Amino acid sequence: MTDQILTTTGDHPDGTPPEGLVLPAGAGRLTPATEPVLSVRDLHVSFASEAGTVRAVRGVSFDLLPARTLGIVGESGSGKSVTSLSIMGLLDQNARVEGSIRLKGTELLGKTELEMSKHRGNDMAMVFQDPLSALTPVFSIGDQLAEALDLHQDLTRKQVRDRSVELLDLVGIPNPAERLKSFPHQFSGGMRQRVMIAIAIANDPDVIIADEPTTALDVTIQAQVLEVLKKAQRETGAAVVMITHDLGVVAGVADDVLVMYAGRPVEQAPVDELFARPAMPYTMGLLGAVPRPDRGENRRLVPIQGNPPSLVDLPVGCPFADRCPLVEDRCRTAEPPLAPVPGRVDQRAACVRVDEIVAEGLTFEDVYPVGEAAESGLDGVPREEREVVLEVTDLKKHFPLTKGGFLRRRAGTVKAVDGVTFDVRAGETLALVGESGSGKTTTLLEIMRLQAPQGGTVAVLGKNLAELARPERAALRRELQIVFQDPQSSMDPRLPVYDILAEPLKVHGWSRARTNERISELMRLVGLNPDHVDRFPTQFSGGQRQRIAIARALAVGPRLVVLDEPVSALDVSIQAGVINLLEDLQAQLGVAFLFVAHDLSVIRHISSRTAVMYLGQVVEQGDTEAVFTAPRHPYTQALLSAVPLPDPQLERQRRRVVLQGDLPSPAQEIVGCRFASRCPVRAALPADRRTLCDTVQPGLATGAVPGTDHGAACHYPLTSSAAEDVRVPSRA
Amino acid sequence: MADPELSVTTAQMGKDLAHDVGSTGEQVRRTGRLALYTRRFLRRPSAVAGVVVLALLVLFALFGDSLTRWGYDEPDFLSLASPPSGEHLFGTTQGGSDVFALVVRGLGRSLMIGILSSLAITLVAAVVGTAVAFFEGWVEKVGMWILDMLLVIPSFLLIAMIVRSSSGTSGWLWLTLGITAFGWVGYARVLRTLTLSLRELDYVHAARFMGVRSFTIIWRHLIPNLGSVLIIQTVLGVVTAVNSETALSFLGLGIKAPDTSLGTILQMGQGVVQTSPWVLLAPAVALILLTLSVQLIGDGLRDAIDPHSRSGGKA
Repeated sequence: MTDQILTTTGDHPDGTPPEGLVLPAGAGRLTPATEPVLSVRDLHVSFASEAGTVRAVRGVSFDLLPARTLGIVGESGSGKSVTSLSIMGLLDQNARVEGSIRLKGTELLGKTELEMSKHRGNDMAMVFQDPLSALTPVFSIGDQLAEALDLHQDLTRKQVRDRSVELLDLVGIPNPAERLKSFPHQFSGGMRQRVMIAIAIANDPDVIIADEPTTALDVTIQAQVLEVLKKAQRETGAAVVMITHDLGVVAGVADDVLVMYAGRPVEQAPVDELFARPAMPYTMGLLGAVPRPDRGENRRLVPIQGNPPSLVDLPVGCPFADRCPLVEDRCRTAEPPLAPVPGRVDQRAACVRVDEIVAEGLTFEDVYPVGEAAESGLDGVPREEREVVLEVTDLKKHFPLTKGGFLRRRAGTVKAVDGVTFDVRAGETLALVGESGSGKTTTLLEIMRLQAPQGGTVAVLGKNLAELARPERAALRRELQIVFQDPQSSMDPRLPVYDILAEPLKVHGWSRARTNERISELMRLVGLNPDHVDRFPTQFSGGQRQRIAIARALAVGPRLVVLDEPVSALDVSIQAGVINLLEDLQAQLGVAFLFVAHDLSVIRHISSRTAVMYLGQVVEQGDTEAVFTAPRHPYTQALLSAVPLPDPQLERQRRRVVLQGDLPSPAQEIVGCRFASRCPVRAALPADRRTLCDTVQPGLATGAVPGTDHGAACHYPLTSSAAEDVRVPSRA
Repeated sequence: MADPELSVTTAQMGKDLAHDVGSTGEQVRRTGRLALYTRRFLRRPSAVAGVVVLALLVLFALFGDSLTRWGYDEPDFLSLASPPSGEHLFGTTQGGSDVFALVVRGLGRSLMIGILSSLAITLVAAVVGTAVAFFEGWVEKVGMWILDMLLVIPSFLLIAMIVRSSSGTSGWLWLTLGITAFGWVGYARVLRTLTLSLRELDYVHAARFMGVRSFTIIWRHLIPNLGSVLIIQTVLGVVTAVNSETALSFLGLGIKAPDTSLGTILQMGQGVVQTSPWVLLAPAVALILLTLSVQLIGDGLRDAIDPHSRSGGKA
């Protein structure tokens, strides 16, 4: 069936390479095209598990043309990573793979390990998610590059060295010749991912598979790495399979997109088409559930109801039927095949109602009902009149850095938090944003300890922590609660939900009867069935577990809840529901949130105020709208411009401020502005004005914009017109 | 000192704790943890064999004395050092004691001492090990210092001295106490290392931030989550304890007449191995069966509880 590869194309009178995917013989005009480098047909993968056979991938087919990028998008468990691993032949022993994978016409399935290793690293290469564990720590970067080269090519020592230097230079590693001798731990995460890319392209592969290559990285580093990947693709002419859950990344890099759900492709289209006119309700939901960093209006997010089905016993019919607002009886009888969407070029969708959707031009707004947000009692009260719930002034936390084994001596100081000042008022959400290593989490833990800080003051509800007696401190625990990032590890797996929720109540001496009542009230409050309290945390899905964690935090009626990346471990479709819940709870209970996140789109959506942190200091603070629309600090501006937008057209238009280099080590002694080493504004200044940046540390100056408390710690803050230039573009 | 069987790495622990990543939905068909472990355990024939052998040995120790009309402490002076016969199934010793009755009694004693001291060792080691790790700071420093000091004490000698000063009948209790008192130190250190990764988990932080008292956290959150390690350790600890009891008794420093244990009988038998080998043979076989079966069960348990083992079956 795949002997004759044909392609459907749009109008290309000038004979340029066709836009879009090569499809197996189907509708549309048929013209012979460039041979695909990789062609996957009807791939099925299943695993053995204690619960039964997990059918992880069920019928994936695609063709990949040279120099093009296919984005595979899906939530966790959708089978996207398994697809990539089965192409590379890296699956576990207990997996069964069926179908066909052809690399330049050679069938890969059924090859032995030895035959596969001739392909791996040579004509196809992989970039893994976690650059920390993908490199061997005991060999230098040069050795590892040389290994990749020697395995597949016959080169002299000098050739290997020259090629290695060339590769490192290509991926943008400064001083490549010297860095060859460095070991992986001497590189930062972003740099290691560059090295991974260098190794992947070492033998000029035809296919590069990138499995969530930037998920473990910060946004500014992500922007750099995606640039490098594009450059590597240009240099080698390789086709790229980009696997990601981030719709923004897909919009930026992919030419074609394959959306996967429950192990099956449910929609396949060129990137513009997919983002502009999705035809499958799941894709629509996915696009609608993402908060947008470029939109200020407080549109309520629309979660997709329910959870993905278990891959062990899949329901009969469409796997999305239980969550689909357009579900009909015929959806539950048979699983719809991935069929061409009538009237659209190169777009295919697996939905029985696709005709209607296209004919009536249904969009996300028509399909998904938008809910009503709860009214807040504090809405009319201006910020100045609200009670201060948390006041942090000049908070410092330094860790000693010791050297030597037996006699420890102090080798330096890590200034994890160095002079952080902010306040949170009743019923508002303050977001702390920053990349990893900026001191967000240390700040939180310092507050949560409720002990006198190393430097500065922390006051909760007007009570200074340094002056608290023991019983007062214990009582104050009731006012301050925390929700952690990972709902897997934040609840004891061996306790049923009832005991988990009862724990804070027990600490504060609630009677058994009141506890009982409160727990069923809490379960209802976070939208869970109170009858499920006897279940264990593992019996709930990630989103439900995070709801339980929120219920636990709210159990004793706190005035302030600290949320440490509460939605970053959740899938987009689930995340929206939790964000809505947090908004409603805040409105109903008047509780204040201190929200730590690295995802700027979530922050823009949920928070009323934002504080941007860099290397242990707050560099910009103010109303969220002001910070996002008119950033005054160059770091904030760079951060905003690095966020990928889930809109391919805007992605192409926007101008990026790509920061040079990495975050300096917090142990480094920096005189002057901490951002100076990476600052694009300073770089453009004449030498005499730079001295100020290098010698004097700027304070957080407020009042530059009259009538607001928007402030930035910068000697040469951006004016709003300069900020206009590169800020997140938006469609008028 | 650290038991090599306890080489559950911290990474594995973490995965074991944050297990089951792909669980979905409420309506999911769930296999209970216990059912799962049982199923994985039963997939190993050697582990099942271990259970059967151990069960037979326990039954033998409990009810074996009804199979012979001789008591372990009533010698048959008419048949001294006689080989196995219908009257004396395993023969008799130089003094005319029935070896069958001796082995029944000795096996019971050895099992009793092994199981009791292993349980006690696990309990003490779990409480001390987790507490030392949990409190951090100076508690950890002082605690570790004390543990290190305890490790260099010549325990064998001390146990011998304690048991020596006791009477014949309560000797086995003192022996149990002695084995426990000096056996927990190494385990406590292993458990402390495991707790180091456990104490950084969010639910422990969460409990702290809620204001839960420290000992409640240790008892409710830390020790139960070391559960799998503790179970394996207790089972394999039985072997260690039986071995040290046998060794002590063999040297005449443990169980003394009129009481008996496997070690005491072995000691009796080694002198007459040329003339009446059956005295040595019967307790030796019992000892080998006991330690082998417990070891097999321990291995099976470890594989059943460890999510990375090969007990997962085939697709």
